[in-house]
Parts: sequence; structure tokens; C-alpha cells
Amino acid sequence: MKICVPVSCRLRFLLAALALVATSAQAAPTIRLIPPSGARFLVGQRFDLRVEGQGTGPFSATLAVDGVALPFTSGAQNTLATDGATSAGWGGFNRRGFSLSRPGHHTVSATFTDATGTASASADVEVIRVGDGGEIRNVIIMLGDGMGVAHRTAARLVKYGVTAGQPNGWLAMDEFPGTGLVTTHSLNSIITDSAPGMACYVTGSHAQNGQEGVFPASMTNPFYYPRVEYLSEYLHRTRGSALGIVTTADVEDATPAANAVHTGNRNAGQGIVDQYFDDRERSGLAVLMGGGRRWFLPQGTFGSSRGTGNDYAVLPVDLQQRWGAAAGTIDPSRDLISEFQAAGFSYADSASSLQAALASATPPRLLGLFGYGNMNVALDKVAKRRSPTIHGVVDDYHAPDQPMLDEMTQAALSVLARRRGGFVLMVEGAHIDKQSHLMDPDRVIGETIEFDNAVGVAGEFARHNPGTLVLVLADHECSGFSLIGALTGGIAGLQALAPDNGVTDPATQPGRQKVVGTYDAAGFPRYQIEPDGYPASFDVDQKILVGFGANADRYEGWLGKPLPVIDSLLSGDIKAELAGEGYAAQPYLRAESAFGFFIRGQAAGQDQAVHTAADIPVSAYSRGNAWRSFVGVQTNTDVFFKIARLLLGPADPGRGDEDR
Amino acid sequence: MTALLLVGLLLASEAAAVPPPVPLSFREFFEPSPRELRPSARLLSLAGKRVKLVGFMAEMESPPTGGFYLCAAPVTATEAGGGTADLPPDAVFVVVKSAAGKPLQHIARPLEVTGVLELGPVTHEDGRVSSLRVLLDGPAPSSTTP
Repeated sequence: MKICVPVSCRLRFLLAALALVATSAQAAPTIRLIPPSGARFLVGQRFDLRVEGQGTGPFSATLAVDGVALPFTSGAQNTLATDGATSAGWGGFNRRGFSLSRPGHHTVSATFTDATGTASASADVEVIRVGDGGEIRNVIIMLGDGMGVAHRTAARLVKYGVTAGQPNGWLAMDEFPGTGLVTTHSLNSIITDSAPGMACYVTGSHAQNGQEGVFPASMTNPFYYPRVEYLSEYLHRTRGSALGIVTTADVEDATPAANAVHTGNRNAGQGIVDQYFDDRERSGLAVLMGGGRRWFLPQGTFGSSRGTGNDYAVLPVDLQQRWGAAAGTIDPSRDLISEFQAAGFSYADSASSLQAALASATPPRLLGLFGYGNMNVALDKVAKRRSPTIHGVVDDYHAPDQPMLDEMTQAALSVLARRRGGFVLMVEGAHIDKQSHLMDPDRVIGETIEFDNAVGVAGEFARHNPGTLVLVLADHECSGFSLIGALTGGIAGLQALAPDNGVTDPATQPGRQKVVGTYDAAGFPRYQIEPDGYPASFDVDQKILVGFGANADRYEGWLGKPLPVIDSLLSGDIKAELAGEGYAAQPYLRAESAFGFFIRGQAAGQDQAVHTAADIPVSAYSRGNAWRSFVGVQTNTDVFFKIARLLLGPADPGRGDEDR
Repeated sequence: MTALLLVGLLLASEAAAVPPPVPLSFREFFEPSPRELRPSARLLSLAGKRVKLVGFMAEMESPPTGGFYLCAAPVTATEAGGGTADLPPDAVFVVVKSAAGKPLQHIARPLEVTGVLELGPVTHEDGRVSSLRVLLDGPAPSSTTP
């Protein structure tokens, strides 16, 4: 059951794309046709068609599929305003909530006319055949945000070590048998961000960077953009499946939102969380856990980020009607937690209240908001658990009792396992990416270990629940994370080195560069692992050293990044106040810019490391043979169609007619 | 340069012989409560008054314009959540009038900030919402100013 696009299809895609460019280039007005050529959809999967163009109004347009004219659902012909939702200077016409039920290739053609002439465009779209039932009913997508091969290797090396060339243990994701590679490109770049990076796995379509569940458009509101149906929506509509979303990020963040929310602006936090709730009956949302409480508190409450700037306003009527979508409104005073509770969701705001929510009877729906913004990283959560009475980073964030990702995953599965229609669960280890951006390798590795613990929970569920597929994926690689060697000379020797921050002459080798043990000198580092499964310390004498191939300008000192020291130039009362906040004074804890050696980053103009175009590894597990589908090299959108075929099965070849 | 500007503002404001600012700590903002941010009586009592806060300017991939976020601990924020998802909930937006429409260069040192404490939701020029603000003291009137 191979869905991967064969060479002949890729050639057809290329030719179609070229045809589109050629026809557009010859026309007077510009024209853009959505969906783009090469798009693929499931039989019956909904998507919007849109013809838009830029020119001198009034505007008019036509649309046809396989030569048969198709009326628009919005966009007045021979007017300047057209659909009333298009950017100034443009005209736009829409056919909302369309689908095709005949498998195979289809030609979408369009014209766009302004006062100066007519432009035409065409697109080749493919419809993939699916049936009524496949070999799996539940899908768990474990999404290690930004997690490349080296992130996984680092977690394994730290947690288990290596003896005589043989790993002393394997991560839970290492044990999954179906291993392959996945390309990560987006619709408009070889380098994706997290929005299309996630969306492609659950829509089957490439999205533009910054956008999720939509195709690009020139429209006045990003929530108006032409939509494509999510896997969760498709399955809930056709089978009554449930959706679970679990993340260590703010729940409005790109990866979680790219499972249920349709927007061209991944940063529209308030509109995103509102749409989670407003359209829960379309997505089947039953579990939502992560950070982001700030969006759920009414404006005026301390900690609330609700306002008027990034909500979703009233959606176009045809979008509402054709998708059954909520209209949306600007409502900064909304109390979204109360609304979730009134809709039957149990609410937890801490690890202990999460346990309490599951202690007596498993709730049918679950909302967990464990931080105001992003949840804290694993190491900071673990530090608080190890030393509850010491003021820690989690206390600074007013979230001292946050659950670990594996605990959240277990809770989500408890709720979703009761769903008769099966479920889609997405679990994101968000800070693998975020800490890679910040080039903090210790926190990256800690986060990857936490993520793998959650993978272990998902794998255990699949072992006891036939018909469950677990996929370990990443949306992209972040930072060019690479393991370059191990520390020589020990931590004490490192701390004793003179500052290297003044070394600017390339002929002078910084002391901290001399301690990098490569090849034989790297040997086999060992970390002491505590009973909680995390290292006692990352600053061990033979510490694994990490380089960043996609780095920004930075200073490297190799030590873990604690709070900075109190600057000796500060006045006495400021020093006293900062000391009261818990800042250390030891010289070796100073900010790395005070002692590390300077590294000029290749990512020009960036303060942080960036995503890379590298393929990411996929690991699949199921009790049956479903995992075999993911062996080999595949595109990110291929993953969607493989999941769909495993869930729905191949259909009777004779079925299907056009749905007009 | 910005650090010097702030220090200059502080020195100038001290020289103007206005009432001394009331020292305020981040830990005094809210009553101890893991479940909600309950403003302390001290925080509420200082609304509209000049305060002095010591903290760190958040380093942000998407920095705000017209000011900066001051946090109890050093924070580096990614683009997540419109750039603010990594900020602690007690982050104070320091309004710098002279920086209206412009982002400020990050200062990687602790900062002492004095100005008028303002509480309640405000939507800033970049669309972000803050509930805690300090309107940074401006420079004292010059002796040559008529």
C-alpha cells in the first residue's frame, strides 16, 4: 500500500506547475488558483477553491473542474468588491467546502478578468481512494518539534551511554520497528516552520509558512483563507472520531493549532483558542492540554492576554455555511475556561489537579492548562520535583506543579480510550525545538528524554490496544544540532580556564576550543541517571559537546546555562535584591558572553538558531503491519495519506462520482 | 547605548527631586497561589505611584516596540505565541515614550527601572496586551528650558 508519489506523478506535478506559470505570465491581470497544482485530497475531503487576481477592477472569474463549470459560493461578478473579503487591489471568488469523490487526477481551471484583459490558470489535483475501514482505528502522532536524528542520539547517549561501541540501552522510539525518513518542505520554502510542518501530516497538503489548515490568499483576515479539512475533522465527520491535543507549548502555538484551527496567522492566539472551542463539534476535540492559560482568562484578569488585536472576527457566510463553522466574534471578556467546563470538559491547572480529575471516574473531556504561556522545560520541572522547597524557575512562572509530558499523555489516553469512534492524538514535545533555537543543549536533551518517556506511554497503549498506530515524527529539524565530541579536562578544569571572550584573533585558539575531545578523545561519556530518569547533572567531566550548524552569533562556554551572576558593577541594593531572587555569585556561573569564545553564526540577522531543511526520522509502531508503511523515504504529505489509508482502507475501485 | 540612556534617565529623574520611588519586587506582585494570579494588596496600593523595579530585559525574537518586558529572571523568548509565550505572567511592560514605534536593543544586564506603575489591560501598538506596566521616568526638565 504505497502512497508515495511515483516519478511519473512527480513529472505530471511539475508540468502542471509550469503550465500554471506560463498561462499566468501571458495574462494582463495576475491570477492565483487555489488549491495549487499538485495538491492531493482524500475522497470526500473538503477544501476550498479560490480564484483571485490583482488588476484594475471591476473583476469577474470562472471556475471549472474537468471542464464542467462550477459556481462560486461568494464573489460578485463584475464588481470591485467581489467577495468583500479580499485585499485592496485584488478580486476574489470562492467555492467553499468542496470535495471530490472520484479517485484520480482532476483538472481545475479558472479565468480571472479585469478591465485590461483575462488571465487563466489551471491546476492538477489528485484524489486518493479510501474505503470505509482499515486496519487501525486510533492514531497517536508523537511530534518532537525540531527533533532530528542527532537530538535522538543525544538523548540516548545521555540516558544510557555506550560501551565498546554498543549502546547500553535504547530509547522507546528506537524500539519502534518502522523507521524511515521524511522530507519537511513547505509550500513556499525548503525550510518550513512549525505551522505547515505539522499541518501537512494532518491535511495532506503543503501549507505556506506561518499558516495552518489553509491555503495562501490575499484576504483581509487570515481566518478567511481557503481551508483544507484536517484529518480530525474528516474522521469526526465520517466516523465520529475524537481528537486529543497535548503539548508542552502554549496551546495556541503553531504545532497544536495545526491540528484543528484554520488560520493564515499562526500568531493569532486569541482567535486560535476560541476556534478550538467554537468548532469542537467539527473537530471532535475531547482533550486539550498544555500551556496558554493566558488566552482563556477574561481581559482584566491578571495573566490574561486577551484583547481585541488577534481574535477571529465574523467569518464569511459561505464559509460558515459550507463548513458548519462558528462565526467568531471579538470578545476580549470571554471566560473560556468556564465555557469549556460548561461544555463538559473537566479542567486541571496542575499535576495534582490532573491526577485528581482522573482519580475517581475518567472524564469524557479534559482541558488542562498548566502554564500561562509555554510550559516550563523538563529540567526546570524536574528540578522543582527534586527540591520542592527551593524557589525555582517554575515558581517564577507561577506554575510550580506542572505535569511531565508522559503524565499528560497517559491522562489523554485514559480519556480517549473510551471513544468508540477511535481517536487521533497529537502529543508535542515543543521545547526540543525552542531550546534548540536558544542553543541550550542540556535543556534540549532533557526535553528529548521527557518526550521519549511520553513515546513509551503511547507505545505501551498500542501494545495493549490493537488497532493503534503510533508515529514518532518531527515537523522539521532545528539548529543543525550535532554531537561533535566530549569534554576533556573535566568540569573543574573548564571552570578554571581564563575567559576566552576577548579572543578575536583567528590565530589564537581559545582555551575552550582546546578542551573539545574529538574522535578517540571523545570516548564514551557517562551520566548519572537519577530514579526519575533524568541526569543528576549535565555538567559531567566527560560531557557531550554539541555544535549547532544553523547557529546564530553566540558565545560558547560548554557549561550548563544557569541563572547569570550578579554583575559586580551593580549598586549594593540591587545586588541584594537580586541575591534575594536566587542569583548565584560564583564566577563560573556568569553569562557565557563573559567567558565563552565567540562564534559567528551563519544564520545572518538571526538572534537564534534556525530550522534546517534536513529530513527528519520517522519511527512507527503497531501490533499489526501498519508500521511497515513508513519504512523508506517519503514526503511529509505522504505521511497523511498513509495514515488515512491505514485508517480507512482502500475502497471498492468501482465506487465514486463527482460531488458537485 | 540604550543602557546608558536608561541610566541617564534614572540619574536625571533623581536630580529632579521628585518623590523617591517605592522599591517593589516581582515576588511582591501576587499572593502565593498556584491556581491564580491574585494581586497583592501592596501591588494594588502602588498603582499610579512611582516604583523602582530591578529585573532583566527579556531578549525576544520578536521584540515589542515602544518599550520592553522586564522580568524577574533572564528570559529569551522565541517567536511562539506572537513572541510572548515564553514570558512569565508577571512580566512588566516598561513603556519608553522615546522608543514609540521602535524596538529597543537588548541589554544583557540587570536593570533598575523607575517610573509610574500602571495596572489593567492595555493593548499596545503591536497588538500585544499587558496588565502590568511601568511608565518609565522621562528626563528631568533642563535648566535651560523656559
